[in-house]
Amino acid sequence: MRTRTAYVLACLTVLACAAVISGGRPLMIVGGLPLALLLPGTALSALLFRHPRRPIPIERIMLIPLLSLATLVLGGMLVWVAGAPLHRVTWLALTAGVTLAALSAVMVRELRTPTVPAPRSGHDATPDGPSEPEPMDRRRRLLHQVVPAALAVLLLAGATWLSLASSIRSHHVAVTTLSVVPPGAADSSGERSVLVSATGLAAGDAYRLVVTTAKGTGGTSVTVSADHNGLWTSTLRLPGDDRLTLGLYRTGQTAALRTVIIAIG
Amino acid sequence: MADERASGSDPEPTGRPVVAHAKPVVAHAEPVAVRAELAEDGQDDPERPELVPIRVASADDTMDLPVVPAEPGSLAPVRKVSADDTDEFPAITAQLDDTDEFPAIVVDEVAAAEATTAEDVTPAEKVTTAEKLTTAEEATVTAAEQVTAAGEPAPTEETEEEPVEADRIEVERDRRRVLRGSGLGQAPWILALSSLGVLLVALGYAGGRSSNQLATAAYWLGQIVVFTPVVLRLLARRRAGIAESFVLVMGLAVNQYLLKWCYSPDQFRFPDELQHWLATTTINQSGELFRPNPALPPAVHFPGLAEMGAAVSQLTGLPVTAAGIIVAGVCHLGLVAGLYLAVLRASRSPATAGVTCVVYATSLHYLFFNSMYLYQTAGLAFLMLTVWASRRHQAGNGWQFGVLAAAGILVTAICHHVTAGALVLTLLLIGIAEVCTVRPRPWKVLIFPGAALAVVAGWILVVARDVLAYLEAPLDQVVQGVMRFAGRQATSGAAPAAPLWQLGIQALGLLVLLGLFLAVAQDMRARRSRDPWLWAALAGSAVFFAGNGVRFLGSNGPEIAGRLSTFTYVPMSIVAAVALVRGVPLRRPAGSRWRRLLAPEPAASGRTFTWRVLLGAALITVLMAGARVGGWPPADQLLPGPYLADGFERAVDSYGIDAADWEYHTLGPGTRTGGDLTAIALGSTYGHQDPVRGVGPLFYDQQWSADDQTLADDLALRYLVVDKRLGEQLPADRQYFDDDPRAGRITAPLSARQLGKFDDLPQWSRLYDNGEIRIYRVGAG
Repeated sequence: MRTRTAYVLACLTVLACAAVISGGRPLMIVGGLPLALLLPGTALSALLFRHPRRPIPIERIMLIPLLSLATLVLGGMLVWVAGAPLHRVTWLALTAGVTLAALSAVMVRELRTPTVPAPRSGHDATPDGPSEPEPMDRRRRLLHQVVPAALAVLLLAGATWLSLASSIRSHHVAVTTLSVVPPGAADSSGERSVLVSATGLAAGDAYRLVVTTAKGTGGTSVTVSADHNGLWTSTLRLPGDDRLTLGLYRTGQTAALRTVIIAIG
Repeated sequence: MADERASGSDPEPTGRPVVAHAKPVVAHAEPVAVRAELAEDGQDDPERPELVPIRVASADDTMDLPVVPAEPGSLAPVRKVSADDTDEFPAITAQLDDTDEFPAIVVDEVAAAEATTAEDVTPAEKVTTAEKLTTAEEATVTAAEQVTAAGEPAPTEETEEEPVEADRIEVERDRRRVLRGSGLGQAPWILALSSLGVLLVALGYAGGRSSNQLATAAYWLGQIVVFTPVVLRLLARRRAGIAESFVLVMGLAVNQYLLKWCYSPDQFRFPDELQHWLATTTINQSGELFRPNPALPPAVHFPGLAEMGAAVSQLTGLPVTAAGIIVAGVCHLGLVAGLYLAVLRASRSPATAGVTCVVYATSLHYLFFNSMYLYQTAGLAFLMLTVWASRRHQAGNGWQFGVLAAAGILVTAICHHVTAGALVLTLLLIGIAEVCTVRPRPWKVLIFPGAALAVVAGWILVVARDVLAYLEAPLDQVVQGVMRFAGRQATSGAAPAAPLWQLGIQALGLLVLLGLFLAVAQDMRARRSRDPWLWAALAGSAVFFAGNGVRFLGSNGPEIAGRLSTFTYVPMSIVAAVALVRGVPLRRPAGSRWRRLLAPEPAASGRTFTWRVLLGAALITVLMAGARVGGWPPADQLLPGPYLADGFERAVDSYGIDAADWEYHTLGPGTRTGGDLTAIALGSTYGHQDPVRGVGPLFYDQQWSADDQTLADDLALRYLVVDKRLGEQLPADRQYFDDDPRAGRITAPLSARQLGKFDDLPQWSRLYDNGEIRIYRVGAG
């Protein structure tokens, strides 16, 4: 790795840290993913392998993310052993610290014994030919690489959208619940406070809660008014010396939609 | 034709030395340029025959290329062919510094001409260029310029030479060829077609969710479209370079990972993924490692994956689920890349490496289990990294690879117990094979297996001792199964027989693999091969076949066999790839020519070759189909869809999740809560409950009895989750509960009486009801 590349990577690391610290979700994703998956591995592989082509590029493709993940595992373990909690700041310091330390070592090494630059094979280093791709090259590249790649991306995007939409549609149904917080014992008055909740109530429907005793007598009806989230919560004073059944009814229906039972307190 | 090519003696165009085998050279599907470049340092073969130049044909002209001595089907290192840049891709990788392209390795591999007699079968190797290049371009591609005479001292990394001026011209020409797309071949279009398959499978999934009749057809068509074109291309383009085969393999891995993700794209549903979701969430919330995980206690001491997920989640602000999907995807791709590179280094054949990966993609748990957010997924990636790095280190490629191997061993040990054990065994197997086959015996190859054994044993004995008890149960089951089998006793609780068509597909796949295994074994025996890696692969393949026998041992036999195949299928894939790519003789009738199965022999008309490619692709596709019906998800749950009682992913729906959320928010973490399999899976993860397993007897009794009360007391049961739908469906996995006393013998759903009796218990309170699921407080509380 050349010194200039190391500087660029160091700057990117600092920018990624700033993005993570900013706290905004999109910026955090843009900064956090490279910090977790790319930058430590890139710096460590540059530190380990001085020659830019060793290991070969596809080996580097594997090494960079795996070295980054190894940094998280081994570094996280060391940090925890040292007694520090594994929170965002810790992960940030770990990944950025490893990256910058490795890049610093690379830069020091380059300053002491510079790597002989490899001859450029890019557009500006052709001793006997045009430096820019020929028009035919561009067209062929478009046909053989860009077009199919774009097509693949479109197809995969369509597949992911379709799966996500159908999964959400089929699984994310409104669940109507009736529940009570485990009630305590009855107080001196023989009653107890019971926190009753209902969720998933339809906005346009009217509901009522009917409380009956074990003998089916003493029924008490409470009107249930859900908020805009379909949630209703109320604390009821209920007798503690009887087994009670609380039924949630949709207005106009005789069968309870949901039922909870409270044993004698 | 072949003889002409092999016997020519035209001067080498660049005037550089060219080496080749003294004998007629082996005809092998292997790119010579790549081979030369991948030749390992420091492994001089004392038995190496004298090397002489040969003439190699290109598409338009002939030219001399470096040809290395090798046995047919050999995975053994080619000794000392490249000296300038021994383990690089010199003329090819140079361009990567300045372009984002992959190397354009266009040196073709073709099969040998068949010998005319049995004695004539001495393999011949020849090389042609893949593309219709100009003569000048052809001259740039080969590694001939990079090759010095054999026997030259191996250069170290520090003495590696930079490309000279003449190479710069070649590099530019390579770049031009890359710009024309020749480096990637047809990979982009093939992957675009494969992506269409992903869309078809996604349509199948969507159809499954809405119970569409055509969903299954779309699923299978999509699976074939995703997979088979890549296989066809890899088999047909045995002369393809690294760039094309690597892109094909990784593209297929991405597409297949998306198949897994599309099954449940919005959240984790598989119980094991939920367990690791909890482990990650716990680190996020507490900032500590080794916190209890009631959903999967052994995972506490293998926090590698959870660390990765927690770090990604914390740094990006993404939910744990999204972070887990990313981490699992990276690890899965790391596994595939590691497998490709390890086989590439061992075989020096991109085609063999590519076909190995696609064959491995037909293992039972490749598609789902090994790409889920599980600690094994993380361990597998580092297992393969370690194998690759240790290989390169032992080849004398530098101390850096030793560091990588050591790091890989550590991370694998921290990630997953079984994978760590498999790593030790893998390194040991390779080491023993090398010690047994190489002279003088390279005892130093046992350093890495020894180090791995020490690290893994140290971690388990010092940190994760509880995993011994965790692994004891399945091991006991296997041992007992073997003993019963040996005693010919009936195995109670044996796995139910799968439908005949499923068994047929899986049996056909096993037979295909067995045939390839036997062919390679016979070929190696006939050649008296001393290739340690191939012997190790053969031994591992034998374990694969033995492991398949485990599926008949007890009710969990198929699951154990499937999980075992995750590791044993790696060597099996290598052996199958060697057979499919390079071709091995099945038999050798007296006085006749060698018969080659699927050998990439050049046929005058091309028809034979085409048929062989089609047959090979069909065989691998059959393996893929067998893996789909015999792997995960179960064959009757290949498509997502409506709720299935205790059907793992299919059992996780909004009702169960809402109940688990209520447990978390209302009951608080750590409450002893019991229920059926799904209730336990969700309650112990999303609900943070302390799961109470083994509550089946409480459900099966028609009336609450004193025994039930005793059991509830013994289990310290505080809350019980009752799913009404257990009274509507039979369990998808033959049991409703953990430790179900009626597992495998359930013939009818639970009755309304069995499920409703809890309402009649005066001391019990039904505190939660969502229409399908009820949660009871056991006793007065």
